[in-house]
Amino acid sequence: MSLDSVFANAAFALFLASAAVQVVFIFKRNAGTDAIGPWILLAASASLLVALALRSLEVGFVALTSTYESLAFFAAVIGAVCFAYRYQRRLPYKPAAVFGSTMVAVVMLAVASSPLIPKEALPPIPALRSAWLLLHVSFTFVGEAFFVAGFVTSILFLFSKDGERRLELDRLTYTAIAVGYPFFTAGALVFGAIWAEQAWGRWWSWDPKETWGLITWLVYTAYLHLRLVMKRKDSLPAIVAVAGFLCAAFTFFGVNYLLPGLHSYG
Amino acid sequence: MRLAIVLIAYLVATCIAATLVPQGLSEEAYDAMYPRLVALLVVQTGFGRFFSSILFIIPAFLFFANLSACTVKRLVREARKKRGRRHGPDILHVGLMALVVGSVWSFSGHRQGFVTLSPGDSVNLPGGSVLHLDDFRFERYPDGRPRDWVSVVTVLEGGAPVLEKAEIRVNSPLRYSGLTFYQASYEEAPALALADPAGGEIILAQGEERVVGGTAYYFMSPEADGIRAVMRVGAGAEGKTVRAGPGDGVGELEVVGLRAGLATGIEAVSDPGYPLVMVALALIALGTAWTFAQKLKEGV
Repeated sequence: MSLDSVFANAAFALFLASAAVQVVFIFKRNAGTDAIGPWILLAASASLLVALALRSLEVGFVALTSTYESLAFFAAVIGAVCFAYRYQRRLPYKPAAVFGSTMVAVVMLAVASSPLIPKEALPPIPALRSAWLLLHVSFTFVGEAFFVAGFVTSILFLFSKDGERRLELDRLTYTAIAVGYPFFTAGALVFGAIWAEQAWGRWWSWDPKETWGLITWLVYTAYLHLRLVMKRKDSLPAIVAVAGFLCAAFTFFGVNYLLPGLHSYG
Repeated sequence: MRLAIVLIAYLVATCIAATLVPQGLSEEAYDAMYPRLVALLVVQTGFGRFFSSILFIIPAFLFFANLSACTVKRLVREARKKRGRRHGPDILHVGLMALVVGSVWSFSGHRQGFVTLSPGDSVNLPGGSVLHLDDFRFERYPDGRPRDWVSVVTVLEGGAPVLEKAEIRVNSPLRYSGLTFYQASYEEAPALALADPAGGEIILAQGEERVVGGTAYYFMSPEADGIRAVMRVGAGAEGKTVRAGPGDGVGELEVVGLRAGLATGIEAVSDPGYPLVMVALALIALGTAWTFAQKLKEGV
C-alpha cells in the first residue's frame, strides 16, 4: 500500500471516529459541547491534504485531476469548514449541523473508495495541464463545502418545528451560502470561463457541466434574493437551498456519468 | 423582484431540460429517439437548439431588461444614501449586464478556422501574414502516456519573420494580431524519406513537393502494402507517376522508405467580444466578494 493510501485510509477512519464521538455528544445528557470531534475532523482533513500532497509530488502536478482526488479534496474542505464553524464565535453552534456535514464527507470518501473509482496516481492528460485547474477546482469545492453546510442546516430547518431553533438554522443557512456563493462564482464560473477560453477557444460552450454549473448558480442566486432581498423566512428558501445542493451534486456526479461533454476526461 | 425569481425558475427548468434532450440533432434523429409527437415538439419549438431558440433568447432578454431596471433603481437609491452605501450588488449587477452584452458580441462575432499542417507547411493568415510550422512534438511521460502536443511556429510578414519559434501548446495558445491559435489535435501523416546524391536525407510529407536539381518530386500517397510510395516526378505534362520502394532510384534520388510522420491540427479563433467578457467576469467576481463580505461583516 502506498504512503498516500495510508494517509487517505487514516483520514477515512478519522472521519468515522469523529462522527462516532459527535453522536455520543449529541445523545449523552450533560456531556457539554463537543471539544473532541471537531479536532478529529481537522486531523482527518490534514491527513487527506497530506495524501494529496504526496500524490502531487509523485505525479509532478497538483493532484486534483481525477474523481478520486476531487472527492478527497472536497471531503478535506468539508472537514475544515466544520472545524472552523465549531470554533467561530459569531454564529450559534449546532452539533447536528456538524454531524450532518461530517456524514456528507463520509459519503464522499465512501464513493471515492468504491472499486468503480480508479485510484491510481497518474500525471494529467494534456487538456488538464493548466495552472487554472487549481483555481477552478479548489474555489469551486470550497464554495460547495459551504453549500454542504447550508444543505444540512436547511434540512434541519425543514424538520424543525421550534421557532427559535428555525431562526438559528435559517441564519446558519444563509451565512453558509453567503460565504460559499462568491467562492463558487469565482471558481466554477469565472475561472472556469477563463480556462475554457485558453483550452478550447470558447469561454462558454453550453457543455452539460457548464450548463449545470450555471443552473446551480442560478438556484443559489434565487435563494439569496428570496432570503436576503425579499426577506422570506418560511420554508421556501430552505427548499431552494436543498435544491441548490442537489444541483451541485448532480453537476459533479450526474453530469460525469450521465451527460458526456467537454468535461469528460478519462 | 418577483419577475426575476420567475425568470430564474424558468431558466433553471428549461436549462435542465435542455441538458437532458441532446442538442443539435436532425429531425430524423429525434424521431428515432422519441415518440413522433415528442420529436415533433422538440423540432417545431426549437428545443433541439434551445440556446439559440426564442424559448431561451426571449426570457434571457427579459431577464436582462429586468436586471437593468433593478440595477438603475438600486444605484439611484444607494446614491441618495448619506452613509451605509452598499455598492457590491451594483458592481455584480453591472458585471452581469456587461456579461450579457459581451456574450451576444462574443457569440455573434466568434470566427474560427482549422488547418492541418505538417512540419515545413505554411498557411496564409487574414491580413497577409503567414504561419509556418517549424516543428511538431508529441511529448510523452516516461510510461508513454501523452504529456503535451507542441507546435513550433514562425509568423512571417512580407517574407520576414516577426515571431520566431513560438510554441503553441494545449492550454497555452498563441495570440497574434487579434487571432488566437490553439493546439487542437494531431494526426498521423505518412512521410517519405529520400536520399540525395550527396548522402543527405529529404523528408516529404504526404502532398508535399520539393524541387531537387531542377526536378520536382511530389509524394502522393503510400501504397497499400505500407512499403512503397506513389510519387509524381517532374512537373506538368512531363511529370510521371511512379511507384517506388526502399532502394529504388527515382530521378536523381533514392527512396529510403516510408516514415510515420505527425501533422498538427491548429485552430485559429477570433473573438472580439472576449475582452468585454473578461471585464464582466472580473466585475462579477469583485461584486460577489464585496457584497457578501460586507453583508457578513455587518452580521446579516
